[in-house]
Amino acid sequence: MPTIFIDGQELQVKDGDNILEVCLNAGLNLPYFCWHPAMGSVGSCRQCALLQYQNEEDTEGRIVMGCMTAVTEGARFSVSAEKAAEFRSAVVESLMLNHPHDCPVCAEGGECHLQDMTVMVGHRDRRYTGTKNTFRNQYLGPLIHHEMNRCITCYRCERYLSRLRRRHRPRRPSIARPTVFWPPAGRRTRK
Amino acid sequence: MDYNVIGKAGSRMGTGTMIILDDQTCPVGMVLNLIRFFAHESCGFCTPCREGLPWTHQVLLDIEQGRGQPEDLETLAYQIKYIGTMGNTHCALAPGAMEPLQSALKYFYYDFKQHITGGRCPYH
Repeated sequence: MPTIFIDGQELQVKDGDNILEVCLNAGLNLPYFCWHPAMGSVGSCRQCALLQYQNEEDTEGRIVMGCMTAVTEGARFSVSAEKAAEFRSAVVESLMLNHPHDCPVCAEGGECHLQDMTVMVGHRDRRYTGTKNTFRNQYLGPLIHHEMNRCITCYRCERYLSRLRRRHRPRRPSIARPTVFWPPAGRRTRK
Repeated sequence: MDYNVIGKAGSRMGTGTMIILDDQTCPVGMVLNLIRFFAHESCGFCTPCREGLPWTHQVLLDIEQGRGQPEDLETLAYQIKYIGTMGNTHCALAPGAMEPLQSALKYFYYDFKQHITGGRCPYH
């Protein structure tokens, strides 16, 4: 059982865990999108950033992604460091550049992971003045409703489908199409 | 000339190509062209690059076309810090895109200022 330090707090952790899992288990508020307990890490959303220090003398630290960093004996991290908190806020601001602002009428409003994470990191004011990208929705089979304009590119749908495809390949032709994330189909824009 | 020297000057050797601009060419337009290329090339895998590069492109386009605001320079500096740091993105594409912008802001700051205060590109 390795021992790690998060914001000075000593934690006994399970070998093979990543730092995001450790933080969530310890009740620390570290936002995330693409990591999922059943599907693991891909490191695409860059949301679970925190600072890692080389040793006790290191005060600068460098930003690492919690979900992509395995626990090692004596490793030192900071969730509350200003640099990491600013970066996490910047990631949410980025995700909100193209995400619609119609929370009050959205079916997910109130139980939305993006909403929760936005509140958690404290992002509020929009600086981007350009247009938003719009996308065409794709049919991903009967199990997933696809709303690409609201996509935050966590790849969970694609990862879920690829698991299903591996299991049910001959019987489920409807989920055999590849999921397309980028670039926006048709490249239309709206204000 | 080698990789380290170019790195210290604030750019990358890349494929070893050099573009030489005369004093009649707008450095803001040149950087805009580079950022447009990188924003288009972004694979979209990670958030800072996918969203940050098109945002940077939009800010630079506004500046180049005379719609720039004084706070746009702060936005550019913020983008350089946010997506230009290695480790913040999944690969080196976005930091590589930010390096020419960073050195342009350092060496041609007056040109950026002129675009914003004059409301047009002073080169054409």
